[in-house]
Amino acid sequence: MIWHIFKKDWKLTWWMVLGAALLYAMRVVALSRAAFVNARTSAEPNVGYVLTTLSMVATALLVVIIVQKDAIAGLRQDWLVRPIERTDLLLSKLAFVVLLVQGPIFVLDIAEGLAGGLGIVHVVAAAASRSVWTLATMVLPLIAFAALTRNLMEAIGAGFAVGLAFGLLQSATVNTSAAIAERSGIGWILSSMQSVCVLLFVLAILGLQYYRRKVIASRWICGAAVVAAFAIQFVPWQQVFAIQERFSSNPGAASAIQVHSGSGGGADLNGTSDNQVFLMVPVMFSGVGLGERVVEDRVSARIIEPSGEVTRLTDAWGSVYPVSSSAQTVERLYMPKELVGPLKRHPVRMEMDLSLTLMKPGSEKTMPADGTAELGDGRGRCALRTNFEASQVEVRCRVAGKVPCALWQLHEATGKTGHSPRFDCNGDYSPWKASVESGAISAVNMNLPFRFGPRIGDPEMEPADEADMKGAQVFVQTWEPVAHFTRQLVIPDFRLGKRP
Amino acid sequence: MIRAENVWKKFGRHQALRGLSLSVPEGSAYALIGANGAGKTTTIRILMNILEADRGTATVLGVDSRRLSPCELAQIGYVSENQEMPVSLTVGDYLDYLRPFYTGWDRALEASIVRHLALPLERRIGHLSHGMRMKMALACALPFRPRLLILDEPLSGLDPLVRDEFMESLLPQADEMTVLISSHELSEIEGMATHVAYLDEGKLLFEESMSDLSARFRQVHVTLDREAATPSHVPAEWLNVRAAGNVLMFVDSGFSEERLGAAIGSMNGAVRNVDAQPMGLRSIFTTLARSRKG
Repeated sequence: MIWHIFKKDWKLTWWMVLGAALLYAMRVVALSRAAFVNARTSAEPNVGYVLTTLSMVATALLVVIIVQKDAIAGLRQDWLVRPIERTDLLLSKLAFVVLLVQGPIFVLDIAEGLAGGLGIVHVVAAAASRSVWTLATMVLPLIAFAALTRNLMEAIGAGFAVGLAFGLLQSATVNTSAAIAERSGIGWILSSMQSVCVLLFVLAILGLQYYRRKVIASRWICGAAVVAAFAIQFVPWQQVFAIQERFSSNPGAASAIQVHSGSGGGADLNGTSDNQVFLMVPVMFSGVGLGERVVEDRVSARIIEPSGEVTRLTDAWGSVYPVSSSAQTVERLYMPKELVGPLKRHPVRMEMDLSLTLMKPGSEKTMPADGTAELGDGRGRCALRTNFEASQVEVRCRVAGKVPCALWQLHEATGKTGHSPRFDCNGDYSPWKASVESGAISAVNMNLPFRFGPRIGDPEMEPADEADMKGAQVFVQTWEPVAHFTRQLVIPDFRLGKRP
Repeated sequence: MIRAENVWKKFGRHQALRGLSLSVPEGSAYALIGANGAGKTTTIRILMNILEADRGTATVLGVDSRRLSPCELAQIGYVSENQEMPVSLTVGDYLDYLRPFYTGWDRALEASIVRHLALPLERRIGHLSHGMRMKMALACALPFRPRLLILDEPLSGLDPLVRDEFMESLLPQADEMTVLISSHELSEIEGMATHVAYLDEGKLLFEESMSDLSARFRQVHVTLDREAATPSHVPAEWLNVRAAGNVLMFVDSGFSEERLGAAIGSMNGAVRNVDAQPMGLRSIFTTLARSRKG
């Protein structure tokens, strides 16, 4: 009877299904046009983002409506007194949502990718990855949530209440692991843990609702799910990173890398806020291979005074800037102002726990600064042009799945003059191709200024103009994380000194 | 066919059922009567596993009502004034939808009921009047020839013409099944009920066959040869005792000629005439309701 119930729901909701699909199609068209046709105006991307939000809302409402066509909560529904197998009912709803709500999105994602010139294998993989993620993190929780409420208004009201409760809890704790992880590549681990946790609660709710109709108990479970998902944010960072280390594609690649105190062994103060100062600590890396980069995911530091008093500094996180093996770099930490005096008077012991990721270069590509080009074997496609003010080259790419970390550099055709490279890394170490957040087809909007920036290799340092851009090329190199590792740096006699 | 034992149900602070016990014999037409809020709908919802009792057990077709499976539900027809059906479907679409769920669905019977009730198959359920919806609910409950038909206030809010159509469609099949009906429209169900149960504030005050109930209740007028006065002590079976002129009036809820004669004989003064008239279900219900209030 699964298809029989399915057909009934189609009769009741076909116009909503088509409406939601149409909305998503409009979003696809708007974002595609914004990326390739009209990069100069900001209106179309905004339309695309508005349509993305509307499409998400429409999808959520549609899922709730479909479930509530045979609502579980309530006492008046006709189906309750009919000989309908609960399993058939549940499977019918799941099939409907997967095929007719997620199905069109899946197909349109693929169409968007193919229309944008992306390779079919990459596009299908990204669309499938995104669909699975959407099912697990959005659709199934929505089905469970809809099963707790009698009608759409009740669901919307309860949704606002749950969202508000979660938002208030979130805003009360800004420095949880999750908040910090979001700014680095390991955020996917916490969000995955939250998703698994929510999925377990979802299964409990669906089981209780569809087979026992225990509405009150299920609503309590829903509340517990919100609290549990929130509590997961408090899993210590070190343990989350330890999980990430197990996902290293080549864990041994970082075994030779060491961290040392930079020259001078001291530090400088730079900038202050009301009660904190920036402490600039010189740091050097050794054992980093040629062309490799080390990205700092998190630095946790503490100062131990001769008296034994320990002061924990505010952690630095998400600084996904590359660190060269050959050069000294600076670790910028927040420090309470009251420590400045003691630090000037006598040396202290500084301990730093660094969570790091070794990145190796992947594919390289050179593309004309005015035209279109493929990116990474059909994974992406870019349109490039000089902007209206003739001050920068705008690169607009569509990529299947999440955007890889990449180094972008503009090279002029004449005189081999280059401009400052840009390292763009959203920091997502997740093993999947795409998630709900990334979308199946992602956008890369990179601007490479040439008029006001320094010209590397130009002894005269003359500002470039549009004429210099004739025949110019953009070099892009992707970077892949190969090893996640931790190191500890101890500076026994740390003192304030000259700025490194 | 249906048995409930010591069933309790509470909504917040309101105790809807207080140890309800009842038994519906197979083949009977069992009328559940009681004032608004007496617990009739709650009882039926517990029997249909729409609600779960706090305490006590209920069995329907020999199965614990909490374990009613599609197998049992395929033998139960249910009509309620509160039934929510998919408003965007047409009457015909919904009949088409329901048909495959019942192995014993009789299309000829369905067509006959639809014709008799003059149901517009092409009209959306949401566009039907209340009366039409009730007729449609009946049309969805009868074609599979249920062993048990449960009707929860089916006649409420229907005009007399629709009531007649409803009952005319129901009655020809009522003999083939057990019927449990809760209703305020006592005159309509009087003709079909074989058993009656009276529910008051969540308690069952009595349940008995219609013939026993009719035999038990009499409206009695005793004409005296002097001014009548309400006796200070009357038998417990006498309800709504009042005097007007030289007539003493009451309802005897435990009527027997000998006992009534003896009770009247013990009254002081000469009795000119005793008139004991059988009562309709409606009169019995209002008498009981008033005496409970009093």
